Amino acid sequence: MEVISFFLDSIVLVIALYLGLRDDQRPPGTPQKSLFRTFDFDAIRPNAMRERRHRIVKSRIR
Amino acid sequence: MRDLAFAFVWIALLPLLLISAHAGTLVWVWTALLSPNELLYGFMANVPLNKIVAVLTIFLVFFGREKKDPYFDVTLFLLILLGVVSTVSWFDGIVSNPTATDLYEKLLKEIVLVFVIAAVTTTRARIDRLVLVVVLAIGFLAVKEGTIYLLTAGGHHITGTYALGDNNGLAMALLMIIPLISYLARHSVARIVKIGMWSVMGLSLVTVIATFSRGGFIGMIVLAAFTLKNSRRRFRALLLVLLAGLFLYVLAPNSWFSRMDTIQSANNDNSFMGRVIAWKMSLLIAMDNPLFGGGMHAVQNQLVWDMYKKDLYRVDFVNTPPPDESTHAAHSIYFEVLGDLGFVGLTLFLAILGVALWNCQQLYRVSRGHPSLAWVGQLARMLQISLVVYLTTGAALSAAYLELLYVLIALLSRCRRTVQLALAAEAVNGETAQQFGSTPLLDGSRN
Repeated sequence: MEVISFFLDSIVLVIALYLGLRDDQRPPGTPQKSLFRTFDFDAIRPNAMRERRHRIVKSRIR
Repeated sequence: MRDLAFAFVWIALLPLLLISAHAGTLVWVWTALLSPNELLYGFMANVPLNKIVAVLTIFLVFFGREKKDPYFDVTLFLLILLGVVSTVSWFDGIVSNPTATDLYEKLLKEIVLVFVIAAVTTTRARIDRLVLVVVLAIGFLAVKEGTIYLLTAGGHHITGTYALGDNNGLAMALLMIIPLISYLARHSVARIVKIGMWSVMGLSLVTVIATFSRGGFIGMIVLAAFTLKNSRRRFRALLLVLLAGLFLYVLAPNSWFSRMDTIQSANNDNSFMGRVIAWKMSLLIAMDNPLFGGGMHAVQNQLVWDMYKKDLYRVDFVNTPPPDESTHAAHSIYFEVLGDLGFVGLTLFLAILGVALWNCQQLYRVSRGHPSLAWVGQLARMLQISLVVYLTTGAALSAAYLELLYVLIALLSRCRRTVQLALAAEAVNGETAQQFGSTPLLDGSRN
């Protein structure tokens, strides 16, 4: 059990580092491709700032 | 066999270590938290992996072509002061032995690591990768120990690791990474990574139970309380906490409940009273060496112990039985630093923790007005929970020089710097950013 989990952990580390290095070297503006990339809510919600401002204004009016 | 397998892993990592200071930093963190040498028994067991990676990384920080962003802030300034105090204490302390030197070197190495993390973790993607590596290093122990505990139906006895300490130290470290696992589980894009993270979180809770640590139990309560407090979706968080409670009730054996019951009778508990005596000893050492303390782990030195055990009456804030003949560890991060580095060292240590908590609050506050920084707000909240768990659980543990703490402190300092840069970029391109509803820092922070 120890050997398997240790080996898997090391392999995941190696994969994460190589994919991360590849993502680091991509041209600016292009999306990340790594399996371990994290989600950016604003990337799919470009109006988030506007929505928030509207909510604040509405609450102040109330 | 495992040495050979790990040697291949090492060969695969080597090209990265030779070109990227960021990759080197991540492997440095991984080897520091996991201590892979402990898991090897053959020709790889004596290879100083951590030192090799540290030297290569520092070389690349100075001479590599990779983009870096060295800066200086309050956290880094306080850490330098802590390094100076520990150096004076090491030279001038009442204890001078190989153990003290090892601990002193460990602390200096951690301070250097903080500077390296701060300089090379320049983007959000890199920050997230660092969080991932922390989870990989300590989560490995959760997967291993938790699975064995479940497979043996509770027959597995957990002793801890060299890097994290005994069973109590392991429980604390696991509780500290649970908020980070939660951050990754919520933010990862790939479903397989999300499932993996939730599984590691479940196994972390199993392992904390399996340690039979009373400090771990208190840490779990703190973790649950702060998860509820910090959650925006309180009802969902409450359901999660109740589910975890049910899980605990079903999974934990009777012997676990009996062990936890002893928290109520701490005054009659030999183990607890032994800790109070060690706290008193540390306080006495600090009273006699108020500026820079008695040196690293002076309280664990037999000569020092014998010298001070007759003076316990000087600190009679709690009645304790006569001290043992053999020494005890300080068993508290606060008394550990107090005895080792004196009141100056303790003040600096608390100031560093205070600034880290302040950073959490500031990051969360700033992120609320900037949707493109929502990620850092959530990460700061999670790091805040990790720090509170550390401050609570660490009150009864010798873990002041835990690598994980310094990695979290570095993360917070770096997040603050990243946000400052992002806001500066936003201020320059503010008008354009508002027109499009998003901000240029979005791309900048993810590159």
